[in-house]
Amino acid sequence: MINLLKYGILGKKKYYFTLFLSTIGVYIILFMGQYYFKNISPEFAFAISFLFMLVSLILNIIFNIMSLDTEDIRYLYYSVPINPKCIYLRRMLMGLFETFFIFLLNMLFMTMIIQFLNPIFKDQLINYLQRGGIFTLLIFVLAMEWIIIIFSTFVIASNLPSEKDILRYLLNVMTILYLLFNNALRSMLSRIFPYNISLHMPQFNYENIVTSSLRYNINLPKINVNIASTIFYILTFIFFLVLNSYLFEKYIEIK
Amino acid sequence: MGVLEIKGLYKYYGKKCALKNVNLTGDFGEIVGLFGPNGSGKTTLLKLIVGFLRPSSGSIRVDGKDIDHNTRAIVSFLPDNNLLPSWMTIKDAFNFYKDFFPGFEEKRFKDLIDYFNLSMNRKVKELSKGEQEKVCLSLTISRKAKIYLLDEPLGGIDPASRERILTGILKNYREDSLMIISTHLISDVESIADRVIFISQGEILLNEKTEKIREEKKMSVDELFRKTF
Repeated sequence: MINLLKYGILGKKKYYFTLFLSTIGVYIILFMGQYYFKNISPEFAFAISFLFMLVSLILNIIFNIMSLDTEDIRYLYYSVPINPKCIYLRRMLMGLFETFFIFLLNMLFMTMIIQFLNPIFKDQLINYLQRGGIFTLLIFVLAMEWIIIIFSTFVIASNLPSEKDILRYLLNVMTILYLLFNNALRSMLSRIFPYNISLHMPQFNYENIVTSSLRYNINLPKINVNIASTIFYILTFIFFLVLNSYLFEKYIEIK
Repeated sequence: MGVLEIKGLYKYYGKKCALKNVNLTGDFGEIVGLFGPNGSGKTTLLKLIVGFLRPSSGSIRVDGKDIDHNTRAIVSFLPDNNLLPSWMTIKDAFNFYKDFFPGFEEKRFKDLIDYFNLSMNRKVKELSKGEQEKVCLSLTISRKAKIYLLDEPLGGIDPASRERILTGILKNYREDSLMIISTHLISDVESIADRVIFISQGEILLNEKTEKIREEKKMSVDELFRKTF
């Protein structure tokens, strides 16, 4: 697995470099904007930073899913005498690391620029993280990984042998249905099992933050988490990860 | 018992039958020429042996074991197109093979790269098709394997270099292994093949020693191939 990760990272050297440079570029533009025009509000800087981070995260999801199809399910990695599920898990791990990398890089620069615009921001951010905001942010990163896992099912389905047409069809239908109805299912579960737990996790409301003031909205109240809906979320996460690893090992064909 | 045993092998792509009831055995010390026209099932057969494709029915055993990811340690496959990602240099590819394939022979690989007049620092995407094939061939035959499967090793190579490649293959052939070379350039390969297999529309038409063909039919394998197809 370490060697797989090593060559995975080596293969994406240029991607990481481009990502790093473009992130720095965006924040330099923001700094320059403030330096010359002196009218950038912390809310505006936050909105731009957050949008850039979202775009980077979405592109990262797309690149990881594409790499699964164009690099992992190809001759070189499949020639290697290791269990093919490791190749899949390697890609998912890389997706997770990269999401963390993009997230931390953007948070670092975001904090620096907003601190530059509004010196009290740092204390507010630390306070937010200490009150459990760190868990809210971790869940945000895991949600990105969840998207990579769910969408990789389509790639895996497309590489199944022709004898498994029915399985391919079932996988595609199941994943689409899950994507369409998972929110409805979770709210139904919340109604049937109305047991909540208070994790003291402050909300993260992007819309409020950019339309109102940072100072007010970073001090949002704690949220309640429904146990049944969270268990459902975790179980489906594990289910898709195990299912995709199994299909990768047992059925994938290199055409 | 041979190092390769194939029994009642069928492979379907949808409704199309790519291989029909293939039965084959291969022993150590043999170089087998797998000849057939385009779309006859040569590549499908090799991909089934290495485990890239799954049989629709029938069985394949390599060194007495059913095909799975472990048998890839003893089967070295050269595909008919470039297997290396474009970001790699020849040195990266060399390190990759060294890290993943136990018994990969560094000296043999470096000698082959010198023999083909290539440099370790060149990027895969900067190599011509022929040079990429030479790198992939060098990687494939530098592995310590029991079965070598070479799919069209001479495809896209100019006639002058073909002889050089064949010499390279022969010089590096291991007596304790089976080598199957799939091609439609029969005249180039028949001189090194101990046994010849003709395949057409997924069926084995001929499976015979090269010498026997020459003695009994009084013609070269190339001539017999042209007569058959």
